[in-house]
Amino acid sequence: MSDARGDLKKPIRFDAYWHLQAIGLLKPSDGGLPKPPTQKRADSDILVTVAATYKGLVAIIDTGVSLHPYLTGRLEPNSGQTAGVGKSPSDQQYGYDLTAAPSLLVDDGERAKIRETELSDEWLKEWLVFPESGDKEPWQEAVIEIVTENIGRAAFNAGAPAASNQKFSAHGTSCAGLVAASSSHFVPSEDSGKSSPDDLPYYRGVDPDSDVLSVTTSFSPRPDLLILAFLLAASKGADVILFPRGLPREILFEPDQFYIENAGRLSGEELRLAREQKVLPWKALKQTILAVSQKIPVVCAAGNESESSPIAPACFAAPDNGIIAVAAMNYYGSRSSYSNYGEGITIAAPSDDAEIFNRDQARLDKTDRFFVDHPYQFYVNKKLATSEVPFAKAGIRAIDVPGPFGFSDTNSNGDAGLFTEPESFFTEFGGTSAAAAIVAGVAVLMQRKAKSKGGRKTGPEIRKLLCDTARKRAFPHLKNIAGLPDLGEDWVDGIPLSFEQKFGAGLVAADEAVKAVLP
Amino acid sequence: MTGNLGVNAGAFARSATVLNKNKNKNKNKNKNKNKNKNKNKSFNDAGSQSAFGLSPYREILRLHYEGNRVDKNFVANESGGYFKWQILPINPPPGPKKTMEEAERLLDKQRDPLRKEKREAIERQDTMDLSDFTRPLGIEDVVGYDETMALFSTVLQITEYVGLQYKDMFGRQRPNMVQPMLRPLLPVPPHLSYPSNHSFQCHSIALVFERYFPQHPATEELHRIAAEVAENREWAGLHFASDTEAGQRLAELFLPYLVDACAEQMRAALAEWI
Repeated sequence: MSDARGDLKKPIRFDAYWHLQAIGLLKPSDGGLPKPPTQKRADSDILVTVAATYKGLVAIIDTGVSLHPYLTGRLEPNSGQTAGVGKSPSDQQYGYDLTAAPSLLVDDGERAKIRETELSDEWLKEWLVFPESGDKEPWQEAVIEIVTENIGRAAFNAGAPAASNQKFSAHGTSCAGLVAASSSHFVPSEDSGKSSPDDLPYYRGVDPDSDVLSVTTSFSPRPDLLILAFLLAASKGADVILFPRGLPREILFEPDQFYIENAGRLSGEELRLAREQKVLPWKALKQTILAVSQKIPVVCAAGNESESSPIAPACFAAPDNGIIAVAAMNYYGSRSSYSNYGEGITIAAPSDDAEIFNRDQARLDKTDRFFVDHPYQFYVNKKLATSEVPFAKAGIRAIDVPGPFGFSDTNSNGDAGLFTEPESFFTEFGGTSAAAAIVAGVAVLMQRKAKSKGGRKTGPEIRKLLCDTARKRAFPHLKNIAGLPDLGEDWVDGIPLSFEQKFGAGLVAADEAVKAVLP
Repeated sequence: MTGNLGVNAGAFARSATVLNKNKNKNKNKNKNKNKNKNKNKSFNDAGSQSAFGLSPYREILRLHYEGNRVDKNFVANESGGYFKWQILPINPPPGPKKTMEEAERLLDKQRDPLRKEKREAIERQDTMDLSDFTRPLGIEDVVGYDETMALFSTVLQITEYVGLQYKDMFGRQRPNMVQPMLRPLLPVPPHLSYPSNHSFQCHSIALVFERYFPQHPATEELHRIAAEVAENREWAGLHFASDTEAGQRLAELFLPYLVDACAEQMRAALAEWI
């Protein structure tokens, strides 16, 4: 291996916003010292802009999004739920919480309005492509039933609180920040003594001029609520849907699997009914996601298991739909060790890395103070570990739930108007979730550009533009960095991976992709 | 129909979510986090009480916070108005015909040879042994998860307190009172049937856990375990299927109040994981 490895024992110096440089959104550093996260970027450093008059909306279906001061004015409100309990009724819940079905829309009037105007039969017919004549597919009937049952039901818990309030929504908040946060969104409270956002730590998501709609779902295997989440996101006018999580494994069940598991126990008719009940809603969910993706892109994380196929729904990505499966690329341009790979990967985006030491590779953090004791060299020399791959320490800087209930634990009360403990407002983030959020930001930039040219693009169109413009080499953030390690090959389970298996079309290129959006 | 659809060990790997990677990522942070946690520890720390079987009085008090009161003009009672979590919109139990049908399904389960296999789990779960949850989380008999255990214990106690109120409100008889041919595997509890508290409690644990630590690979599996524990009460002949379903709905609707009451404990529990 090259001698450059020796350099890795020193902490790498990376620009705090290297992920924005990597996607061609921020001017790459000029080879001097990397900039600290607090340092404001000049407007001329921003390489991609679309006039703010063209609106964009990203729906994030995840754990909920907290109101971070850098998201002020960017979160779509909802009409009925309240944020948490024991607060004044005027406290606004941002987005919708679908942990429990009846709290979807707690106000009867609003509920009826949605069913009539947004999720009407005509709307469903258009989005789910009901046949012009003849019977609907069984999954389409199932979706209509789910919508009718949940949105048509009378509600008597007006003002019901949502669990996804300011507490414990860090994952969704970090994703939302990567899309749309900006320190310039901050509105200082009158007594904070801060005169302008310029006094605060700098932050910038990919497209701070777009809005975010948070749709919270639980991890309970409930296909009905996940179907509602996608339909709600689409009906509220989302231009891009970000799904930085996985679907329950039932989505991949085939009816036969159910049959095998239960064949000995149930009679023929029981089996048929049970099969329908168990499998049909999942099929309806899959078909709903595919149908929605035909109209707007659905950006999904490939998953963090280092497996040979992305998780669902990323594994449904194909050129004829608008699902975009995003893999993670680390700072050095190598696959993040956890990122799933294989034919299903659409595109890659920057993220962090994780240490591994197995038969395939030794990828260890040499800046760790305990590293000197690690005998990995013995195993590499004996070829017990196939190759040595440099570990990239650089993570993705993201925003955190303010106060004590986020990723970074502090004693601050998280008062949005005061930055008494700045570390409470930021966190190091990563995974294919972060990569997917970055791509969603690029996709909404493209949608806003498309609107400036006449109208938004469909899911498959955005997917194709992203793939056509993705970078296969010469990653901008590495342009002026000397002494980069020799990446060598990336092995998993004894097999060297090709570029396409790791990154699909390549590293997402915001500048080129937005440029490529034509009328 | 089936209790084992969801609990299939072979497919476990598939259930991993994209969220789970932060656990590895934060390896180096761990040292600091733990330091922090010990520093902050004081007698006043949330939690630890209920780990010793004491009543989680702070959390129960929080449920009775004035902000949780229902507007008296909406529904009134003699004690100054209901709390919102006392009148959550779950469907009342079904009528007698549907109930008899449900009892028939329980007889089917009683005849099913699978019941024998489930007996051991049913007996273990009767006393709400937490190992069904702590084992997939990898913290069974592991030192250092006191706050998590305390939180689970708190959730069990609070949901029991709340669930019993709903049982009294609906007053549904146990299945063996409706269908005497049922032979419950366990002593029939001296309280009512609807909604199932086992279902309410287990789904609450799964929901609370995913609220504060969705990155854990077993997050989704906890929901299946909750469903299995709840359904085992049907196999035992103690609950109708609609009891189980109502327990789950109650858990979903009660979650915001539970998170509000347990927030400090959840925070302390989270610090054990990241």
